[in-house]
Order: sequence, then structure tokens, then C-alpha cells
Amino acid sequence: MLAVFRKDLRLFFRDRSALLLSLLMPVLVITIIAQALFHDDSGPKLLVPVVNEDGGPVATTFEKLLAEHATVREVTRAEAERLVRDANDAAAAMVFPQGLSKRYLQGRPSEIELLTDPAAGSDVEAVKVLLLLMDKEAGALADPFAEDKITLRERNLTGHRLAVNAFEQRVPGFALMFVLMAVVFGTALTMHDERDWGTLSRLLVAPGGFMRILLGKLGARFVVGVVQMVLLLAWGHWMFGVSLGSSPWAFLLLTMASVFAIVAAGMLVAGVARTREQTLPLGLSVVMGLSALGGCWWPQWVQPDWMKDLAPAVLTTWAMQGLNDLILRDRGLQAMALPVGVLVLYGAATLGLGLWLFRVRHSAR
Amino acid sequence: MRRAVALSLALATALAARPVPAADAEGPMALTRRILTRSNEIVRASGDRKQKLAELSDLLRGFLDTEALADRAAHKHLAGRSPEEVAEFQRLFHDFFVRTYTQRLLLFDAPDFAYGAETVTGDDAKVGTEVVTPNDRFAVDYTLHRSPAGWRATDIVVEGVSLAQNFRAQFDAAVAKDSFQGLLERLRAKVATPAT
Repeated sequence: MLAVFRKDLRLFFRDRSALLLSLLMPVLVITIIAQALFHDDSGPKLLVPVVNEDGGPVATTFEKLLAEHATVREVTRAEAERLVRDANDAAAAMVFPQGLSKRYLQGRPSEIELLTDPAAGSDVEAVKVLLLLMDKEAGALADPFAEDKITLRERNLTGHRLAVNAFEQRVPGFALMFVLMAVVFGTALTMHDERDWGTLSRLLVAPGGFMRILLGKLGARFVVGVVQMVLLLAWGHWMFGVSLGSSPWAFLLLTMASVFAIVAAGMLVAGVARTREQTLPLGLSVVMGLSALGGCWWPQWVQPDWMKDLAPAVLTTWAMQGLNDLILRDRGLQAMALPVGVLVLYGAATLGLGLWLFRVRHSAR
Repeated sequence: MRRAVALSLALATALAARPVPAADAEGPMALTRRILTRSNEIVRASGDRKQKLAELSDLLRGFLDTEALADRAAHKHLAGRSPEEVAEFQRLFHDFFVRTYTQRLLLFDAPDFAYGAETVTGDDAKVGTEVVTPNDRFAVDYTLHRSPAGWRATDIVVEGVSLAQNFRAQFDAAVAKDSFQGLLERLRAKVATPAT
């Protein structure tokens, strides 16, 4: 027993790269998660664009009160709409109407317009809570007895629905993560399995050609990944009422592009990892890192700036953007052009690099 | 003759030495202007909000006739109440109104005041003012009444809406929803809460 124990330890320590990866990668993932959730002692602040059409003391006071709880940016109405509807950088923008100060000082109620992206779900609710808090604090400042000085008019900028359920916010992210996990590991491990089984050398000299055979194997993973993604989202639809959008073609196109990029990521992991042992920590780190950076677990606004800057470079960001547009914003085929385009380009580049690395590495042996 | 001159001089000296009541020295406009000028100095001065609130409250206590305001705002609810209840209401309303007014004044970061017309009719007067901000002007009219202590503000009309009427509507709603005792309870709670 002692001999087996010593042998296994020796084997483990002999593969220095696997050892390094199994230590470094968890540290990296833990750092990303910790940074995303606890990067600031005061907690992440929501971005709330404010359109100040009033320009009076009450709107100014509102802005100051809001700034205690959120990152307030005074913008024009067009810019507020862009931030909420197009860039999706903010869950909601507030419009303080002209004459707000006068009505407020007269003790008359005012209507504040809230331009929302319901796809941001709980973040929109958070903005509404901030609005109530602001009204309460402003009431305490300006008119301690009066109540209900503010009424709210909500306008959805990104679709027709005024609310999305919590499942619709969570299910797509988790579905993507599980497909990522299954496809990355499936793709990377199957490559190393061929080597461990001794069939890789035969494949390398097979008449069909190395690339064709590899692409055949990847094609199988791609189909499995697409089916898995469709089944997971269909389960979410049936079980939790998650919308699948109004365009089946958009849904299918996005799913295929996402899975293609994920298969390519799996191929890159297979190319980078020299051994099966290296594949496990590397693959796990890729899955977790991509899930965290891409917004599969939490909204991207909670992340620190450096993570937000990095986010466009990961495939999950684009897959999640497409899924959110499709499911939460009820957008169609046209809205898929950008995320699908980026995913396909991303996948092609990653696949090319992974195939090249894998071939160079294993042809040399 | 010398006695008459001496008497006249003594009388003149006595008259000159007599303290002149503020009401006699200041008309409604002058009084309002002095109070607002001093308010502006307090608002613009360095110092924290609580300190400014305290200074403004001290300044306005002598200017606002909150008993008259309380009567305008809650006349029908005070009828038939015991003197203790009325006294307590007036005390609470005084603190509450002064706080409300000063807090509203503090909403304006660095206000400028413009002065309009002064209309005096017997013992009543109206003074028109405007709070001038970089983007807008807010009409604030003061209704004053001459009392033995001098001119005092008995109502403030912001953009055409009387604060007394505003409070009356709120008090009516509060009493209809609950009771006069409930209203007193709410005022006690509001006044007991430290000003923010």
C-alpha cells in the first residue's frame, strides 16, 4: 500500500505542469470570483443615468441623495436611452421632469419617468428601491409630513414586457455554464483519451487526414452540445416558464454559434494541456473563469472595472448578450447579428489555434 | 422759560432714549428682506447642515407666527379641544413648521432673493419675493400681520400654493384616516426625530 502511495505521489509530482496548473488555476478562479463580488468594501454601485429636465433644487437634491447609494451620471435623454437600450450598461435611467422642483415645493405629486431594461431584472427592482429611498429621504429633508410625492411611470426601452422572472435571469447563465463544462471537458478529454489509448498515432497517419478526423470528432461534440443547450433551455421553458424568444431561427443560430465557440475553446484546452492530468485543472479554470467573466453567475455591472474591460474578450459575454436579447428583451434575428458574428469569429480563431497547437504538440511525439 | 426749555430737553432726551419696537422701525418688506438676507448668509456660510438648520430655526422663530399658521391649518380640528391639547398642538406645529420651512430653504444651495411688491392693508400685508436659481425662479409670497410684537408672517405661498392650506389638506387627511390624537402622535414623532 505504501509503495502504491509513493508511486502515485511521484507520478503526481513528476508532471510539473499539472502540479502548477492544479495550484495556480484555482487561485486564479478564486481571485476572479472574490474580485467580482467583494472588490470594494462599500459594495458595487449601480449605474443610474439621470436626465435632469428640471434643473431645480429638488432634482439636484434627488441626485445627491441617489449618489449616496448609486453611481449617478447626469446625461441627456438620448444618452440615457442608449445606456439602457443599446449598451445595456444601466438597468434603468431616471427622468426628472421639468417643473419637478416647483410641484414638489408646492406639495403636489410629480411623476418620475423610469426608462428600463427589464432584462436586467433585479437591478431594475434595485433602482426602484433607490427611488423610494430617495423620495423618503427627500421628504424628510423638504416636507417631513407629506407622503407619496413621487409617482412612477415605467417605460420599457428594450421590449414589451415590464418584468421578467428570476428564472429567466438565472437559467440561461447556468445552462450555458453546464454546456461549457460538458463540451470543454468532453472535447479536451476525448483528444487525450485517443493518445492514452494509443489510437492517436493511428489517427495521425490515417488516410482521412488528421484535420478531417479531428473535425469529425469536434463535429460530434458540437451536435451533443447543441442538443444539450436546447434541452436545458427547453426544460427551463417547461419547468420555470423561461421565454425562448419569439424567433426560433434566432434561438437556433445563437445556440449553434455559442456551442461552436465552446467546442473551439475545448480544442484550445486540448492543445494547451500536454496530459490528461493537465486538462482537468485547466478545463475547470477555463469553464469557471469564462462563466464568471461572461456574466453567467451574476450581472456584469457588479464586477470591477478591469473585469468589465476584459469581458468583451470572452465568448460567454457574447453568448449571454445574445441569450439576454433573445429571452429577456424579446429581440429577433437582427439582434443576433453581432453576438453570433463575434462568436463565430472567436470560435474560428480559437479552433485554428487549438488545432495547430494540438497537432504540433502531438505530431512531434 | 428756562424751566420750559429744560423740560422740553428732558422730554426730547427721554423720547430719544425710549427703545423703538422693531415693528415700528421695519415695515413688512424691510423685515422680510432682513430675514431673507440673513437666511441667505446662513445658507451660504461654511458649516454643517445641522448647524445651519439650528441658526435658521433661531432666526425664523421670531418671524413666523406659527400660532396663526396652526389656526389656519387646523382650525376645525382644534375647536372643542382642551386648552392642553391646543397648547401641545401649537407647540408641536411651531417646531414642525419651522423645521419644514428651514429644510426647504436649505434645498436651495446658494439662493438669491428678488423682491417684488409690498401691499399693506391695515394690519395685514403681502410681500412678494422670488428665490432665484441659475435655472429658474420660484415665487414665494409672505402674508404678514401686525401684532403687538411687530410684523410676523402668518402664511407663506410657494408658487401660488399656501403652506397653511397645504398643511390643512394634510391634517384633514391625517385626522380622517386616524384621529386628532393620531395626528398629535405623528407630529410628536416627527418633531422628536432629529432634523436631517
